[in-house]
Amino acid sequence: MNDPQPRKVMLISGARKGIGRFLTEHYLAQGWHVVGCSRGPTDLQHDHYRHAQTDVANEDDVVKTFGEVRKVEGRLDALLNNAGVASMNHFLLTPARTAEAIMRTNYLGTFLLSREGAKLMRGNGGGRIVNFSSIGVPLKLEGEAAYNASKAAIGELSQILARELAPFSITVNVVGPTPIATDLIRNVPKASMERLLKRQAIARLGTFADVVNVTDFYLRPESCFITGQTIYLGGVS
Amino acid sequence: MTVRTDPKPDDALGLKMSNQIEAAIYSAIDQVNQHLPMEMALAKSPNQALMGSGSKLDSIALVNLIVAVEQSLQDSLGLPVSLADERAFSLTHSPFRDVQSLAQYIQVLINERPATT
Repeated sequence: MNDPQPRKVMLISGARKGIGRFLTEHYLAQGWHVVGCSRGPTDLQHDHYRHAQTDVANEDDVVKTFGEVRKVEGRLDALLNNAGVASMNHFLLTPARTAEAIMRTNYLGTFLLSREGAKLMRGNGGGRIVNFSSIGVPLKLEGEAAYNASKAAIGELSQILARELAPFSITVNVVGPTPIATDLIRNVPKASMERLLKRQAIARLGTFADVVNVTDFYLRPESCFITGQTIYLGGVS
Repeated sequence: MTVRTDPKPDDALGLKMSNQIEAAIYSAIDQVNQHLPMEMALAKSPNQALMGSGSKLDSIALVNLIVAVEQSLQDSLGLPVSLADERAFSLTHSPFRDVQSLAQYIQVLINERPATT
């Protein structure tokens, strides 16, 4: 007998901590089967959770991880490209290796996971890809040239993927969070953070729940006509 | 009089691999044909064109076929293979010109794989 409601499978990158961990627990609670990936192991235990130790910038690693998802889960319905690294520095003092590492994890990781994820979604008649940008892109933040360039690249990538993947019924959208109290902003000086918050229409730090509100919206069945869009939090545009 | 020599073990392995690659491609063709009108169906032949004037596949159908081949290879050989290639849509250099060039390309990719994976 056919299962009238086949299980829904989601892959979340950077699932070990921060926003990724919150997203993972949120979607597990909603009944999704979640495959989380990160470079390190996780302590999260759940009947519907599997963890893959994956370097998102390593093509072989990513192809292997999605091969496992296909073998074990047989489908993929949603992909949240949350994994990211940040670095603040003056442009003139930023080492090439830092710029390269940021671009590899943030941009190339999103590129590779989207490519392999879309191949799986195509097999089950469509899916949702949500990519992660930052309000740093529209705000053109000084000191974040390498980071913002990688996030701007994700925006451009997403808009083109939205068109190329539309024939497969896959939507591709972007959420651009404000700073949230995570490891990513741990080393940002307090005065810089206050200046940044003042440039938002709503001058406060974001919360994980603010981000999930947007991913929930993109994942809703009713959002099948929404693609190639970016929603920035905090009233930044 | 010709003297028949048994194939060397490496040759036998190579032949087996070649047959498996061909079977994987044909399995993908079967899948893609299910979604194509009868008159556009692909033949399971090494000479079947996948691009250019000899092929009736549009770019989306070609992408579907290539992804189906990747998944078929994973199922039959247990190998996760990515067939992404910057020459994909080049009429003269694409490894996806026809079934034979696709099979040769897959063989090269598999031979290039590190022995540990």
